[in-house]
Amino acid sequence: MRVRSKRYHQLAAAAAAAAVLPLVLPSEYAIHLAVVIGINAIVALGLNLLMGYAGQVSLGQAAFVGIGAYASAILSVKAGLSPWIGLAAGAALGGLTAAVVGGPLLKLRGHYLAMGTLGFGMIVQIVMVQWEDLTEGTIGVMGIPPFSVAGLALDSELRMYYLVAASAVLAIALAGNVIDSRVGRAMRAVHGSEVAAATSGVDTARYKLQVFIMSGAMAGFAGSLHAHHAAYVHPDSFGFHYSIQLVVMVVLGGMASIWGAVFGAGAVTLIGEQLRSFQEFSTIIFGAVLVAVMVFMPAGLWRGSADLIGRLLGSRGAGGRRRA
Amino acid sequence: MTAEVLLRLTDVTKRFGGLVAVDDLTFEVQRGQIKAIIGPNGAGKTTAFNLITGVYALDEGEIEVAGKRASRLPSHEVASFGVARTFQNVQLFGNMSILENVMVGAHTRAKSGLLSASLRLPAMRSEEVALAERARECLRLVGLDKLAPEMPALSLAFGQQRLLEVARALAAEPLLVLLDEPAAGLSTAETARLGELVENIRELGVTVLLVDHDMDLVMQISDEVLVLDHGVKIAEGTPREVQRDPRVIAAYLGEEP
Repeated sequence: MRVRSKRYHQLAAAAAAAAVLPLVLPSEYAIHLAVVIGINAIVALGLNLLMGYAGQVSLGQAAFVGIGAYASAILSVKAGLSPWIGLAAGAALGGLTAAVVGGPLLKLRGHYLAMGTLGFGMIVQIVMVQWEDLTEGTIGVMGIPPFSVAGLALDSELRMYYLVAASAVLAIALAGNVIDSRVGRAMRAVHGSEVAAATSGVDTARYKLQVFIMSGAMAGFAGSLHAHHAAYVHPDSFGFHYSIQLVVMVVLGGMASIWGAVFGAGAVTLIGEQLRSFQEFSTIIFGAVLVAVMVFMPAGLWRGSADLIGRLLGSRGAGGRRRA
Repeated sequence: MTAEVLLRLTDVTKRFGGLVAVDDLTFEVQRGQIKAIIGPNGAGKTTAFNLITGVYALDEGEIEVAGKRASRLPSHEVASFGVARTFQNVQLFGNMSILENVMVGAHTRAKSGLLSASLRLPAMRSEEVALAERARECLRLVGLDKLAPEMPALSLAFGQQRLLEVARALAAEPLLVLLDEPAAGLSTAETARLGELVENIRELGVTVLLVDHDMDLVMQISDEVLVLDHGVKIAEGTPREVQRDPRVIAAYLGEEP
C-alpha cells in the first residue's frame, strides 16, 4: 500500500511540474516540443504496457497513431464534426483495429510477432496512401481545425500544451492503475512465464488482447491530439521510422517503467529534432542508440544512469530502485 | 477417508513424433490423498502433469477432475476446476514481487477487470485487499512470511523459490495440487520441512499428487505410489507394496523383467 501512495505523490508532483513548465520554457518552439513529447509519451506509455509489462513486441504501433490521426482529421475536415468527437473516435478506432488484428497477430510469438506487427504497420500506411477518396493520398489532409473549449480555440502552442499535459498525466495514472491490479499482474505474469500464468488460471490470450487494445486506443488518442496540433496529417508521419522511434522510447526509458516511458519519449523526441538534418540517416543513428542501450544499459537510460551515478558516488546500495 | 475420485485418467496417451511419452495410462486420485508418481528419468512423469494441466494436448484418452471432463481444455480452464501446480524447472514471474507472484495464484478467486482496475473502483480495491491478505496467508503457510513481500521473486534462494511456487499454487484454494519434483535441489533439512508442509497441505483439505526422486520423502508421506517406466504404468499401490514389486526393482536397477 505504501508503494501506491508513493505513486500518487509522484503523480501529483509531475502534474504540478507540468503545470508550471511553460513558464520556464524559453520559446514558443520549446513549448511546441513539449507538446510533441507529451503526445509521444501517451503512445510510449501504451506501448510500454504491451512490450515492457506484457512482453509482446509491436513494430507497427505508428499505425494506430495514424489511424487515430486520420479518423480525427477526416471527421473534422470532411464531416465537419467537433474535434472532440474526432478524439473519441480516434481512440475508439485505434482500440477497435487492435481488437480485430490482435486476434490473429497475438498468436505469434517473439520475432514472428515483431514481423507480423511490422507487416500490419506497412499495410496501414499503404492504405493511407492509396485510399485517396478518403485520405487524399500523398497530399495528406490539411486544414484540420484546433480543439476548442467553451468557444476558446486551442490554437496556440500554450493552450494545446495544457490539453496534452493533462492527457499525459491522465495516461500515466491510468497505466499505473492497470499495472497495479489483478489485470496488470495477469499481463505481467504472461511476460514472466506464460505457462505458469496459464496454469494459475490466467487466460493468456485474453489478457494479451486486452493490453494490445489498450495500447492501440492510447495510440489512437495520441494520434488525434497530433492531428489537431499539427493541423495536417500525412502518411509519412506514421511509417516504420516512427514505429522504431516508439520502440526506442520504451527501451531507452527502460522496459516496464512508467516514468521511463515518459523519459524515453522526451529523450527520443529531442534527439529526433537534433537529427532532422540527417534525414534517412537518423534511422541508422536510432538503431545504433537502441543497440548501445540494450548492450550497456539493459534496464534503460533512466535506471541505468541512476545506477551509474550511484556507483560513481560509491553507494553500492543504490541498486535498490527496482521499480519506478 | 471417503473413496471419492477427484482425478481420473482413462487410457491417456501422448506421443512426441515416434516416441510414446505416456502410454495408455489409467489411474485415479482419491480426494484427500497424497499420491506420488515415481519412475526413472524420461518415464513420462512430468508429461503426465502437463497433460493433466492442459499444457500439452493429449492424443488419446480422457481426464476428469471432480467428475468434469478436463481433457482438451486450455490450461486456464483446467485451473478454474481447482487444479494448481508447481514446476520442476521453477517458473516464477521474475518481473514481479514475492507477494504479487502469490496474488497471481489467486487469479481465479477474483474477477475485477480492466475497467474497474483503470478507475480503481471501490469493489476492485476491496478485492485487492482480500487478495493480498490471502497471499500473505499462503506465504505464512509455506514459511516465507518473514521475508519482505515486495522483494523481487528471483532474489530468493533456490529452495525458497520452490516454496514460493507452492504458495502460489495454494493461493488458488485448489482441490488438487500437483507438485513436480518439489524436493529437487533441496537440502536434507529442507526436504524434511517440505514433507511436513505437504502433510499440512493435506490437512487443509487439498489433495496432493507429486512427482519426486527422493524415495525417503515419497515413501514416508504418500498414501499411494504409482510407478511409470517408458510411459507405461508398471505398478501402483501402497509404498510397501510398490517397494517389493519385482518389476519396479527391475526398472530401477535396469534388469529385464
